[in-house]
Amino acid sequence: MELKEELNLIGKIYREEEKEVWSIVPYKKIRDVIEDVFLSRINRISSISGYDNGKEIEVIYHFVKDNSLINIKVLVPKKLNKIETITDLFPGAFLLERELSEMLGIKIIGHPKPGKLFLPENWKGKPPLRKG
Amino acid sequence: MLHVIVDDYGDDLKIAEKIRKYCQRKSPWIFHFDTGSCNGCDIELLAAMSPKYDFERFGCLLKGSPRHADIFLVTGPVTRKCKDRLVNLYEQIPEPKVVIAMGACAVSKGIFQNAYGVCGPLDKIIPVDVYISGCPAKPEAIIDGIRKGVEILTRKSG
Amino acid sequence: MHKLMVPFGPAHPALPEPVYLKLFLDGEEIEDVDFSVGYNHKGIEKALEETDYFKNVFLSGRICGICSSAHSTCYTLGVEKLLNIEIPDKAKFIRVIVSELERLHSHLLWLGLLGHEMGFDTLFMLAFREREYVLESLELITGKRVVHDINMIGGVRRDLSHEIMVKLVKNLEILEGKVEYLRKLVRKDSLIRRRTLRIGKLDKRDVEELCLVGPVARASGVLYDIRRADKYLAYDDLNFKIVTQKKGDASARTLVRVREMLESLRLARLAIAFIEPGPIKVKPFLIFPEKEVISRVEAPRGELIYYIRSNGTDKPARVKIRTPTYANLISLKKILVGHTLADVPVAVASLDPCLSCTDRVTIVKNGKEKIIKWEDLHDHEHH
Repeated sequence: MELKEELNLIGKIYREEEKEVWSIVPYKKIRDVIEDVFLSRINRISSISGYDNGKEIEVIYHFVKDNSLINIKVLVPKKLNKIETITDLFPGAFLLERELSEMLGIKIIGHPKPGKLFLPENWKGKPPLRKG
Repeated sequence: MLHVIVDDYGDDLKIAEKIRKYCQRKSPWIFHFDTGSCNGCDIELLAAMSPKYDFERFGCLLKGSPRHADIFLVTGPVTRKCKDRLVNLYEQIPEPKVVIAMGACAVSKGIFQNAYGVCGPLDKIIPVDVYISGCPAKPEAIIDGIRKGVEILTRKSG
Repeated sequence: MHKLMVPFGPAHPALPEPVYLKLFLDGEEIEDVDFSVGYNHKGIEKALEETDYFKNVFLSGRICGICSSAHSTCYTLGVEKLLNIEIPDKAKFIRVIVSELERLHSHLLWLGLLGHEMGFDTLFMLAFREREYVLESLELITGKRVVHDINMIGGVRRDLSHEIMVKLVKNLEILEGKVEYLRKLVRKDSLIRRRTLRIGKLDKRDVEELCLVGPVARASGVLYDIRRADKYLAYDDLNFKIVTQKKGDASARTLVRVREMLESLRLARLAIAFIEPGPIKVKPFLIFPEKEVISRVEAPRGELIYYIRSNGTDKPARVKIRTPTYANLISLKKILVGHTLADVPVAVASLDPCLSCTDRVTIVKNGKEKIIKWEDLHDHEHH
């Protein structure tokens, strides 16, 4: 099945432009979708963005295939506050996940080397990019 | 047996002091530390060393160790992680020394007034003698600032 | 055989952060590498959320002094996408000229620092001397040498008059001869070849797995250039070549950057020829819809990607920046393992972290610490 059809089946493509696809995927299915992305031979991840919208943390994976961007969004409930790593399939996400974890306070399960990246060791505050 | 009689240190010391002061004035050595700057001021410092502006013709050298320096040139708005290192380096520079704050960030935090990772302009942490403003400071301004620093250094040496 | 841990840093590399490297040595050979960053961390992404969109143009330009226009262009492209504005053609070409001149100045700076790391200080002085032509040209166009602030939301801040264009073309002609000389030097000089051949080899598979960007990726044969992929600004109208090499070692990266300098010169001259009289900016409607956008540009070091999220107010809700050096940092282990301590300066410099490491090194041997300077590391190279 083509990736776009897949994304539409498991999740929902909520925005499509000339060279960009934005889709939202349910929290429980994110690992399956990432594996399908890998199997469809998309092997470049450009960035992982995080945003605290008050109720949940939005985590967006930005993949690149040829010249288009495939953006996959997942909403992480604040009560659970964790997400599985993708570094086993995409080693390039190593630093990106660490930054996400540090700035937004999400635990990345299975990350080979978790820990602070930018903030000083004696930082005693909440994660800087959480709102409120 | 060889006896070496040293009875009057006075004159030798005075001559040694005179030589040291002359060398410091004619060839001030600079130690540069970047406390989180965007690198704009740092590359203008390198440009001041390049053939067009060339502060090396005044005897200035950029050295890698604080213990060899006369002038401590600091750029950047002092991030939290760099603060302790900054104080440590300042204490390692032998007296008499001159501290130059280079660039808008070191002078006044510059554009990073709201940033949480920044702990205040340079003069909140160590005493500053010369301020060079600019974002980034131009090579001409850097050379002028170093000149002022050398004047202050000569005064401090007595 | 002792196992040594040589920590070095924090230094001042890359736009982003100075890197604190921990090298685990067995004798002189590096077995493992660990790194830590954060010495340059000021909390800019948070500051961008607390300032309005227009002032943020200046803030984003000061994330890195070397690729300042790349950041500010990427940010303004993102906001213009958000507001759905199309900027006038003249503004697009002016932005292209400034971006290409910035690529040129950045690569010349890099070449000088590479020479310095090798102990070839004459190359440093030569590269910096030629770089002054580029900085003079930038000062003619934008009024500033380094942090240009040429962008505004809706166009550019300053026009390009006919007199300036004449001077620019003259400067670029002089530069072409100088850069051509540097290219011959880099290809033929035996010192540079001996110090860069087979150092820091990255093959195509490594690049694709680790998602590397910029000249580092192109030197291993991966054709990834955002100017071709995204065709932002006026790159669709301009014909240019993406420079690649196959070997993937430090000498390949050097050749890629030097050839890119010549391509940038060509692009700048082409863009000047395309300029026609017209407006340089449009006035934007100040209604920010609730939307998220992505903008990408090809900064001198590679792909720069911004994610901007707006919530309807006059300040962005989130700006997430992924800089190219940040993406290339994970290749440090692959580049350094297997080499000796003496090759570390050139190998790290070939990655082009914004500025080369200038800080001190501590050697921990049998529990006793001894502080040596980065320059003493250069002495190591002469045994």
